[in-house]
Amino acid sequence: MTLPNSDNNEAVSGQYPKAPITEAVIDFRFADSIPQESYARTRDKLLDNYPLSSDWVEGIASFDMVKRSGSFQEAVRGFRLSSVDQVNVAIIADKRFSVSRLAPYSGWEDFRTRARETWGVAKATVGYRKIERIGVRYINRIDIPMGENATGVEISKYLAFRLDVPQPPFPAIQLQTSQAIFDFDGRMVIINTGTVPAPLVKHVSVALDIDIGLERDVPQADDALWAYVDSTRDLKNVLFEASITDAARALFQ
Amino acid sequence: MAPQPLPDEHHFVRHVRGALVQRVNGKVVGCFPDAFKLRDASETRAAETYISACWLEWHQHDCDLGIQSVVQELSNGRELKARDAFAVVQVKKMKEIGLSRGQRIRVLHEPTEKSPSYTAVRAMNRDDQELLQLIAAEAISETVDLESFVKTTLKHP
Amino acid sequence: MTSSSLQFYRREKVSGLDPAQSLFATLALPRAGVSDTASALSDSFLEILRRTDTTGRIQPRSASIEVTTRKTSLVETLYEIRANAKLMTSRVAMHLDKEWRLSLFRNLDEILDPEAWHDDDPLLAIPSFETFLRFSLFIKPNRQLSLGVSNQGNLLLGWIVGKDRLSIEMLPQDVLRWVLVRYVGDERESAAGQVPLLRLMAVLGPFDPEHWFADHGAAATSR
Repeated sequence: MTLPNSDNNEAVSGQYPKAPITEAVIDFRFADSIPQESYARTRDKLLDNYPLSSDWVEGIASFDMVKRSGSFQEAVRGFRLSSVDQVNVAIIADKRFSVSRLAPYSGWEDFRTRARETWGVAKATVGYRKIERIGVRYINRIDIPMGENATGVEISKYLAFRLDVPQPPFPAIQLQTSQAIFDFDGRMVIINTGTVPAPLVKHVSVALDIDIGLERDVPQADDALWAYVDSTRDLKNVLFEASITDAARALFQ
Repeated sequence: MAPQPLPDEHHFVRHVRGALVQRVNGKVVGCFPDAFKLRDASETRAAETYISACWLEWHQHDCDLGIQSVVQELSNGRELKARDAFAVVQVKKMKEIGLSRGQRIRVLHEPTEKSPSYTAVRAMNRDDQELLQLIAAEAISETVDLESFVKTTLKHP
Repeated sequence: MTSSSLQFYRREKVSGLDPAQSLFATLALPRAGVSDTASALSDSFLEILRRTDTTGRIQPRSASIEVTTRKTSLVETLYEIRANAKLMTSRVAMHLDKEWRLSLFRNLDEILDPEAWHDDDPLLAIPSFETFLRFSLFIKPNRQLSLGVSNQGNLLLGWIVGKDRLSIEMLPQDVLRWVLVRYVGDERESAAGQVPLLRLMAVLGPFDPEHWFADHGAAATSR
């Protein structure tokens, strides 16, 4: 199955002034753990772009019910870095490298450039590690205003990805969560939707989470790797636009 | 010596911590009503029954010189921070506002060894938010920003 | 699409007959993500697994355990509060005017500056800050305001227009404590109260709240 060509798709996601993106993530998983001794060096090299850091600590508590004793072990498995304003986050821990951008989303070019630079520094310090999985995930939160005296909203007016519920006998949905998994030419695409707590007064919020992962024939060389990331972002845009309605688009203006 | 009421035409100076100073674009424009609120009990102190201040004219009748002396006196007993301010409050207005709210507020000189101009403002109803807002709105003749005061007035005695 | 290609992604075979298997064993729990929305989605899926679990393998969500790693200094505590407030703001950043958001951050840095902090100053309560964000997006005041911290650690908002003053204390759970003084001609009016956020404009109605909140020449709070 060939991928939809985003250049031909009239509904490709452009820049929305109020883009509903709460988090964009580029995530690599490695076959082997990052060596413990390289954590501090890698963090130090990234401090210019990510001045705030906290250790990613794994604590293991063990209990022996026979002897009635317990023990606790703690190991630094990596670190979490962020920019001063907390919207750019990098996690390098154990078998994982990920770069996140929280709202306000600054655009693909800015996010991708930062992610690639961060990857470059990490890779130069840690050395080559076989990548087992590449993930690109965009989590959107669509904040839907309720009408003046309304008690809810018709989510299907905003989300093309929806539950079709026979009414009657069912009344209006109170809360919903759904997951659908697709195969797009070897890429596993997970679409999660669900009502989430609304941060705005008199609104209902729905998450539209597009998570695209590749675990087969994963490119290892940097150029091929980032070309793949670019193409995945294009796919994400097509899927995003297909999942929303014009009513939702109006909310993002 | 029994506490003496301050003359109506005089002023007391209330130290306002930075978080209760109202600023717009960095410029001090007044105080929040909470600056005059009686504090509830905490882990380290009992509930306040009066608010603390200093008698301005005990030091000097000139406002700048008086505040200078108040700053000196207060800094002996506590640390002052750059974003703090001093509210100069008219005694007469304070009492009038209290009466309009059914309260006979007393502004009393109660000197201590460390603080010779120490003043206690008593008989304020602790739950009266409107009283506090009225004090902030009408009884304060001037709010002095400590940082600016130190830079301008103290540099040019 | 054939199911065989998706099988590649499932390293453990999922049996439809195994009584020890959870009903929604094929649910893919999201792995990457640091935002609140990511957490909310993960929580929803874990809840699905828990409610449909007949094997007893999925533990009920336990009460949160506070893990103290070391005593934090005042500087670290204030930093943590500033960071949490900014993270909370980022959740709704798409609805906020950029300049307003940056101005808010500058204000937070000033009022939570360790250099300006007294030892007995109350710490800003984050639930109060959450009420403030929801207030800002609901009421959308665009007149310059002052920020402070009350004796209870709640965020204080203040507006002064001429002689008129309005102060609002942001309590947790969208509750507001307000007090105002308004001069109409020679008459002085004062009032105070405590209301849920949704009722604020109705309650302040007789005092013309736009008098404080609206500055027609100023930039917006929200986009």
